Amino acid sequence: MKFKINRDFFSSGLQLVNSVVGTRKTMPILQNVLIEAEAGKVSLTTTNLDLGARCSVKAEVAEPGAVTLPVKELGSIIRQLADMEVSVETGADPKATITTRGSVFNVMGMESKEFPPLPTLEGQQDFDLDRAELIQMLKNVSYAQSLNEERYMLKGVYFLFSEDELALVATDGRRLAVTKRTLGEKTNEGGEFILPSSSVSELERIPNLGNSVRVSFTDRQVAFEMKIGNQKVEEGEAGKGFVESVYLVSKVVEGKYPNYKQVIPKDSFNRSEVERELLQECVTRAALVSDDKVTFRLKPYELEITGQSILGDARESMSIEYDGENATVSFNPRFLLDPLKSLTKDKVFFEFRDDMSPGVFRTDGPKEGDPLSFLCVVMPIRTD
Amino acid sequence: MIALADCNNFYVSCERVFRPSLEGRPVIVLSNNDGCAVARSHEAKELGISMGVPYHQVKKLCERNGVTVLSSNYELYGDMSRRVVSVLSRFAQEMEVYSIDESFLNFDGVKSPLVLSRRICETVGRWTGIPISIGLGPTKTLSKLANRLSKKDGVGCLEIRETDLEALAKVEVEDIWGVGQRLGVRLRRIGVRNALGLIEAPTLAIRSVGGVTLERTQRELGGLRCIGMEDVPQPKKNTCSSRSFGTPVTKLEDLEEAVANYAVKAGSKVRKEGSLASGIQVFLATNRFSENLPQYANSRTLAFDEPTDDPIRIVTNAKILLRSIYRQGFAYKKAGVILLDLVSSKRMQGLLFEEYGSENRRKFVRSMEQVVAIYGPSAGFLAAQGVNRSWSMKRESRTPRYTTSWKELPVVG
Repeated sequence: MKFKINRDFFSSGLQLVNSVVGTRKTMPILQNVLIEAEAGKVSLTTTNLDLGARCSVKAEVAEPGAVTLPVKELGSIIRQLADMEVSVETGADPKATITTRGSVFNVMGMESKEFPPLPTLEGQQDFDLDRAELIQMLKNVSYAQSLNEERYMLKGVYFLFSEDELALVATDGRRLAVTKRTLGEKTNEGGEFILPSSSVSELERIPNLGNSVRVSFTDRQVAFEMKIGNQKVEEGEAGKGFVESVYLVSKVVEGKYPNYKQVIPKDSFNRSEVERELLQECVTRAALVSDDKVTFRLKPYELEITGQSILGDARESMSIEYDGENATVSFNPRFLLDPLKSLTKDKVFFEFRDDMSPGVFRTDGPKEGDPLSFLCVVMPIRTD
Repeated sequence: MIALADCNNFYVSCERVFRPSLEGRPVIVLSNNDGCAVARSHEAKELGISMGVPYHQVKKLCERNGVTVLSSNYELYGDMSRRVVSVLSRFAQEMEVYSIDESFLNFDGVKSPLVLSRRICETVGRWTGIPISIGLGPTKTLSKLANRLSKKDGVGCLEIRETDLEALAKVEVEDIWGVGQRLGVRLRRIGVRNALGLIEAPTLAIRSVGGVTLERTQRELGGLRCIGMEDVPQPKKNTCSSRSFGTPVTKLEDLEEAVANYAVKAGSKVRKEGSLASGIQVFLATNRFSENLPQYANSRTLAFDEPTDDPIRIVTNAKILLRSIYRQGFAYKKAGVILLDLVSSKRMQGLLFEEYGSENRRKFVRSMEQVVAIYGPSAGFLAAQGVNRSWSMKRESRTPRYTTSWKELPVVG
């Protein structure tokens, strides 16, 4: 195998796949990246057997071939090379010689044949989505995933495709975030899967590449393929140089996701309209002197937010669009700030009833030109 | 003035209350599984039986000298401790129960602390049958030291001040409250051998040896009160329930039974304290003293989705954790359950999916506890806790639980 590659392209490619590595001592090859050189491109693949990532980077390939090299170490070497043009060459041994002006590295690798192949999906369902929208939807809900293993099926984001809608749901049992998007065309297909939290993080950190993403899933695996298309490659600019597609394939969380619809309040709640950023700032300040609890006191046209701890107390007030009865309810401030930070809209609706009932954040939508809707149910803190 | 009331040879004294025939005779009480001597009567100490010695090492000595050897009877000791504390509390406005057999009393404003102490010793002895010694000092550390000296000299009550240089010089540095063996070695290296030496040592040197904690001890010895009274016990951060097994356990089913019992016990402790556990850790280990057998020890932790005191949920998760760390082919000696990051149950985070904390479940747990309180632990327990409990602790020479079990009341005549 022999190829020449731009240092920054190579480095960006390695950076994209380097967090998907295995830690099993029995399979050291999982700490390696599979490098496959073929006409005009080099493909980089990593896997930890639960999640696999592959991307392709533009290269001048003189001799096709494949090798696996330790991805973390290779990434460090490439990042620190002085010159832009890097040559990589392998012989009969699984060893690579990396050369650039003034530097030569011989890196020991492992046979490419030993690298476990990424799974192929059979009988899958496919949906094409807007990449930026999907990432925004993930960000709108991913903070609500459970971090604990007790109910393992909550450690991920639930994807629910129905006739004309995609819903992404996450909950940790204390708050629930749901975002929906209407799908352009009605389909007869529907489907669901739970994307594990580690795969959610990987998907969120993929750089802005391509416009669309193809989501394919079976009852065991899910794949996300971001088509790069004919993106213009600008020499020397980090993050560019990717060709064809970025491919992520993950196991799904096996188990039944709880019926989230049943915990979304259907009764008549009071509704107020609040400035999102202002509310976020007030809660952040009140939380500075709170013991994991802030209290909302809603009065006509005014919201008072208080925090209290052994340090002292804080009171913030802001004007809101509300002319109902007075109400008081307490929340964990983190559960309020997470949805407020994840949203981009200026105004949100806050719905509430009493100190025992959940608080609900909603955004306006879906509507013409804005296919996304959002809802977050936050359970209150009750004090005996 | 601070007083430290300490029960003399507490476990042995408890046994002697109900078996007066043991008075004046050598008696030792053994730890769990009859392992080591954890309490010795004065007569047993004179025979050379040291604290914490493994029983098998002194078994012959005990047999030769007619030493009465008893298994620990914690139900009895706990109840007797409660009685002693209730008598002590009549004599002081402020009191801190420091351990099962020690309590600090605040005598600030008392005109004759020594006279009052003697009256307390007499009253506790007459009302509960437990002999106590009282050490008096201007600080907790000095009162602890006075108590030690009073026991050593057999005087019952003793007052010590920072100016009693002769007495302070008699106390070895390792015997000071808050020093111990490890710090003692380091202090001796810099020439500090006794309590007087510690008072006189340069503060900087003391801080470099044992940090601010040791500096606090030094100041307390010098008569400056640095450690306050804690009237209300601080809420616990974690709670552990663990025992070593009577016989080594190899089967997963037996371990599951044991761990389920420990989990229920830990959960019950947490509930009584009005707390909820945020996480759980299960650990198991083989006997590290059996060097010829393969060794293995492991632990695993899980965070609950939300804090809980539900025994069913705690047991379910304890078993899941146990299965993940259990390895076949080892003879396990010990297992345990730790409930982590306890938080107050007064502040309850509302839950979306109520399957764990449902009111019915809470009612069920409360009813089960009431049944157990009335009819005893065998009247109601989770199936996971098992029936045979072949792994349970060895307590072959335990005396009856005279004060806590109706079936074991002492019979007269």
